[in-house]
Amino acid sequence: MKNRLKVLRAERDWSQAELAVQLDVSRQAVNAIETGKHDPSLPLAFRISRLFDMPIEEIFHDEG
Amino acid sequence: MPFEADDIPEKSGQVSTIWKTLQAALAIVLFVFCLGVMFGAGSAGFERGAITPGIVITIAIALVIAAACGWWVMRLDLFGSDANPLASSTKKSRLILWLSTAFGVVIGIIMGVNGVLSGSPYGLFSNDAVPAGIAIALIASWVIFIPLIAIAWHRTIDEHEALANGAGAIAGIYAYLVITPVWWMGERAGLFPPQQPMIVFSLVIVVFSIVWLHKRA
Repeated sequence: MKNRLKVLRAERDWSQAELAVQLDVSRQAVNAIETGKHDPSLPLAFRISRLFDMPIEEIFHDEG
Repeated sequence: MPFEADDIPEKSGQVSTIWKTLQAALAIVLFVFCLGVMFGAGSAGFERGAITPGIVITIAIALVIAAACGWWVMRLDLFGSDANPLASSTKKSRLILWLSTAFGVVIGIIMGVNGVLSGSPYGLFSNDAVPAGIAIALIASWVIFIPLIAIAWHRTIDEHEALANGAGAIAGIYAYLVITPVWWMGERAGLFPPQQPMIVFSLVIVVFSIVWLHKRA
């Protein structure tokens, strides 16, 4: 699933590690989400949505 | 600066992870071999009642190679740089990993020392008899420690780590599904030596570790 996580992170000048700390996940998890290797679970998707203060649909795009 | 050096490269990350994992596996095997050499050389000196220069040199070389293997694994940075901030869940999961490693090292040392004292210098890597007391203590440790560590581990890891762990576990199961009957049938036909459970265990762990480390990167 495509997402804008990397762009949103870059706009706030956060590193992957800093974003990982805020989401309470590992840096590898953040990288896996950004590169599309891993789709976050609903709870994590909602945490990401709350962190960036925007709807999930504006962050993640269903390729289907 | 939007993209810092700690960001994992997207294009070459997967290939480098596999290569790094294989290097780590090789380094660990070489490290364990060096431990065996040190125990063996020490045992030889113990039996002869004298530490010869050859034994000292052997132990020293093995120690240097073992230290180099440890440095090699550290340099591979399989678990990410500690210079970056870590989420609390990541800190806890790494602590549990280190505790598990320490547990294994302690068991290895106990088995190795017991082997040397009982005249079986390679007892750590054999099926030689061990005193009942040591066996009971180690069995109790495994039965109690492993489940506790596993429960703590699975309650701490994030979803990405859980998926990687699950993938490794499935790969390990399939490895066991192939290795065990193949070896069993080969042994029955006289093609293979008698099956060794700890060799099967080691192979399954290696397969699990490779897939787990590759998936979590």
